[in-house]
Amino acid sequence: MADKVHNEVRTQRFMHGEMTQQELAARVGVTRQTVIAIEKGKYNPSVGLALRIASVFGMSVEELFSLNKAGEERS
Amino acid sequence: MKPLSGRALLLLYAVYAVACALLGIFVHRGFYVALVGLAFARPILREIGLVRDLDERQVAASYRSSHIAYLVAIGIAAAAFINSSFIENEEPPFVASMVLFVSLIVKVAVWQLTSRGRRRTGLVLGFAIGGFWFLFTALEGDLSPEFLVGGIPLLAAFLALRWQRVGGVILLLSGAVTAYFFIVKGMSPPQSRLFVGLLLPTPLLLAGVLLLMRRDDTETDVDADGHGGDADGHGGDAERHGGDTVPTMEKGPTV
Repeated sequence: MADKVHNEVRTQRFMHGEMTQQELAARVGVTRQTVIAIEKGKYNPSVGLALRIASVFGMSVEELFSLNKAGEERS
Repeated sequence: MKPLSGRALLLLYAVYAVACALLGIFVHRGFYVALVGLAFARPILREIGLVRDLDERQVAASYRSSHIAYLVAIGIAAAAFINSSFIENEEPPFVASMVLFVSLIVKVAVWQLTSRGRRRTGLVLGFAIGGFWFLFTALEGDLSPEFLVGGIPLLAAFLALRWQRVGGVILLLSGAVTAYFFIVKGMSPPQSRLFVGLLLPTPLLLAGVLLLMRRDDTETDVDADGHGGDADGHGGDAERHGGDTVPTMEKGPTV
């Protein structure tokens, strides 16, 4: 069964001084569209990019991204 | 490779455009068509690392669109080939044949090379070209010299399973001999010789070279049970050092 990756990027942006998508994109070296796609769960970032995003928010990748089995409710 | 700056890129485009225009004016009008190359310049430069203008999601999207374009192009070429060969009973269009067969060979070769390594790619090319040649000549129904010659690359591919370098040398020689007879000594028109050259000797030469090269450090064979073996085809995850069995590879998913 396909796994869906849940992420806290949008939440963390707002918890870090309402950081804009553009600002996050510039800090991790991608386009704003890629940040939007990640936040919406339409694109799963590479390990390198996930680490860079997690580093911006000062947290681990596991805290920022988690694996949800399809159909499961997130606790 | 260091990416080009925006200014260097612009200069490169300008030099290319001016060169095409000058060749078009003074040599042959056909060189104007080469200006179309500007449309493919950026993807090519991106592929060789001279341009880094896309992030990873955009690169993935670009690859996906290219793959879809490839499938569409090969579908159209296959339709044209089938229409000419089997419905109108005519010689298939040269361009359709080129697009169909050469792009299939490139696709399979690049896919194998990037996912399975040099040895597997060499073997696949050897078996595919030798097998097709053998099959087509066999279908003609007589034991012609071509039938027997077609068996040599196939035999070389079988030999390469056990003796990689021996098979590689035979495939390389088969490629050189076919290149000589089909391209250099060929009596057919130049475009047919080009087509045959891309279809037969080039993959055979490539297969031979790949089998003679040292294996990639990352190249592994996969056993029937799905465990990765080492590059010599040994299936175990342990390597013997001075009498001790030392695990060399962690089992687990690869990234």
